Amino acid sequence: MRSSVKIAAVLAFVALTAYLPTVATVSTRVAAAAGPELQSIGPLSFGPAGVLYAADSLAGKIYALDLGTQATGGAPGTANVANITQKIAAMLGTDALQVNVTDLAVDARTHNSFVAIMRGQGPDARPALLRVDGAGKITTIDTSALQFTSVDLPNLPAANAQGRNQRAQAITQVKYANGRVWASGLSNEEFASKLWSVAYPFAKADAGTSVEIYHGNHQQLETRAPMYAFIPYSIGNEPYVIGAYLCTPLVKFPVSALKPASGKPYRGTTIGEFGAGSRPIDMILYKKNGKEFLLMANTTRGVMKIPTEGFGTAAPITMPVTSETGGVPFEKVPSMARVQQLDLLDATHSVVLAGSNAGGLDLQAVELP
Amino acid sequence: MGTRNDGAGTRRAALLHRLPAFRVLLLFTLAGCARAPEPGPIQITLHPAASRAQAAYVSVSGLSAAELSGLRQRASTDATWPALLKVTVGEGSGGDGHLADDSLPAVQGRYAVTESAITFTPLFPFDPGRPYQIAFDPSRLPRPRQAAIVAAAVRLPAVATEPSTVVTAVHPAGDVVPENLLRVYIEFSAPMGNGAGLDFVKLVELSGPDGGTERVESGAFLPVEANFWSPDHTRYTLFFDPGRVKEGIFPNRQSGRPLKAGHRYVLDIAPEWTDAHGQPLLARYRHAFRAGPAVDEPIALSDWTITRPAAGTRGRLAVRFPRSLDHGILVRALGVEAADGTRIQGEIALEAHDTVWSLTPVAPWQTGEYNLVAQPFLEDPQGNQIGRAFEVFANELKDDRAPGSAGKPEADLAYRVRFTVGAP
Repeated sequence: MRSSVKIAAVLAFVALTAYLPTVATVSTRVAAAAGPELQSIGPLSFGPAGVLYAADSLAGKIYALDLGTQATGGAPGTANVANITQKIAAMLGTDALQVNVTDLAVDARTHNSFVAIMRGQGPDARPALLRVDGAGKITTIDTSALQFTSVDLPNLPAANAQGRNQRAQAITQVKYANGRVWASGLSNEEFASKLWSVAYPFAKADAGTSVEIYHGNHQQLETRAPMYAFIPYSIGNEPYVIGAYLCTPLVKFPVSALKPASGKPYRGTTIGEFGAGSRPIDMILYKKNGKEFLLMANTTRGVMKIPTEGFGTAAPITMPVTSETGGVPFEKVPSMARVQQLDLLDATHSVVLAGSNAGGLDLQAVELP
Repeated sequence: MGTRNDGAGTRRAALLHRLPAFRVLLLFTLAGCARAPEPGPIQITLHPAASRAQAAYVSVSGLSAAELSGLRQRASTDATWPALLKVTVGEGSGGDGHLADDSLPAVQGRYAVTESAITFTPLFPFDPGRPYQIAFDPSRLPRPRQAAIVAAAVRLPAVATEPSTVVTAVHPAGDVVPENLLRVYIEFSAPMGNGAGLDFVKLVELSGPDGGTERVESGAFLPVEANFWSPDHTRYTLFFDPGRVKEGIFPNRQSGRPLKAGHRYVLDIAPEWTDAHGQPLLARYRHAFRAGPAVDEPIALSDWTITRPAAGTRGRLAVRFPRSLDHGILVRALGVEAADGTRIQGEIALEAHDTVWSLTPVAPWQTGEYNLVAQPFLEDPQGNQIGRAFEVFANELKDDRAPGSAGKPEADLAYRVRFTVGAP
């Protein structure tokens, strides 16, 4: 078990929160309400002042949740919990096969971890949100008591209401940066990639900006590759989005070029190729020994550590790459195996949900490589 | 449901004799409230859901009015409740009041005290068919009873115990599909569970004179476990690995396309794929087809033919395409507008392996002009769009009307084909 926040720091935080704006007060355009009716809970991400962004793919919404007192009161930090999926299943009155972990996010104020779950099978699956504290205590969050604001993602138009519309979308990542919430997604019909963004506090969704990229490994212009993971990043003083696509190019986009009014599709710059047959899961940024790194978890190719120093100057990949990988250098992190969810715990550790020998998932704090 | 008392009644009587003040309080309560329960044997009962709003719950009765009164102030999610009444997943070990696996946490839920019982309603409804162990510890009452733990195993009836769900269709359904096929839909007769298709669907190549030699083509599909179910879980989308479908790129050069023109295949769907009730499919499903030449041209509106209905009738408007378009997207990507932009309501049908789209209007057609409206996200099963093939070289990309082009809502980017309806 480890806890990374000293008690004094927690007390200082508790004193400060009384003066911090909450979701309810900073949102001038969309009034906060209590009790979000979540249909699903997908990617999670914390924003400023402890706002938890939670994607609801089924409803096509992004929620900004104010966890209120349910964010506090636990032991600071995140303790290792072996086979956490089995314990969560027991708390939710079921077995581990009925528990589908959809994301993991760390509250930077308390360093507690939040785990999003879909409980059950098929259309009857229901969302749950749980907190794990520095003593390993797992607490269910009563979302019906939370203050929230939300925004509807733009939906593709249905030309005829009479037709049986079976389209579904999956939001793959949600992040906050520079006053906006960003979300990537894909659908079960058109092979489309969407990177949406919307100003926060929520007003109404932008029409959605879709980004086209050269897929350096593919030679052709890859117009519709789904983006799975991304992270806001600054090069110089300019804000960028670094995106990771299927099979697995790393692409940078200056935020200034993603303005909805630009009138043209935008082509990102592919700066790395990390090999086919895999999809990115999560990315985090951290510093070690004075150098900055991007840590990326993938489904079949493990965890990769990528120095960021070349992101600004890397030569764009526009020609076919003749080997599996190319572009910015990276190294594999064999010590981080079977990682299914990843987030930054503190300055020296990540927290992961990784395949357990017992068949479920272990929650572990892992030293940053 | 099952109940055991473990002689608690006898011990309770002994306790009452030892605690005269308690007896007085009990008599007072009984006198003051005609409906107040008298203490009796502890009874654990599982109540099935009475309605959508009233989920199944567990009650513990046999407590005195004083005992219930002492608990009434306790908050519904108070952390001390599970010590008194603990609900856990599993059978438990039965007779001795000990639970099967004490290391697992209790089921979360809301506790309440009614006129006659303690109730526990789980945070999520009890799973049908799953056993739960209920343990009530009288020694943890506000005024402890010196009695053993009362335990019971309860379960709701299972919903389905026999496999019944089947695959009803695969799209594209034709005998021949282009070798650069990108997307397949698998339809089921009932909602399925969460399992991803990759674990249960195989692409099998047939060879030999009678097609009797089978070879599984590995790595044919997109290595993604994303939720590709329709909202009602009756349709699953299977994507072929685009890295292998697209020509000239590394995975394609390494392994080739999963489908090769002229070869015969079977899409094999294993019965182990489970439905929403955890039951396997009733039967294996095998969809046989042949691969034909790649279709890598954009969809061209000029290739479509419109069979116009007569004014004053509710005749069917039919649009024919020279090749199959996407079964899922067609339903929402095509429509008809009157000249003033009003959408024509009616019934849509897809025929001839998705090469015909038709609209039978609710109201008769009027003489005049209409527009067939095609949304820019319309695709064929190979991912080709209107005016834009799936594979496009940089110097060929001139069209800035791509789906999601910045600056305009997508509805305004639709293509329109004008046609007129005249007298019969």
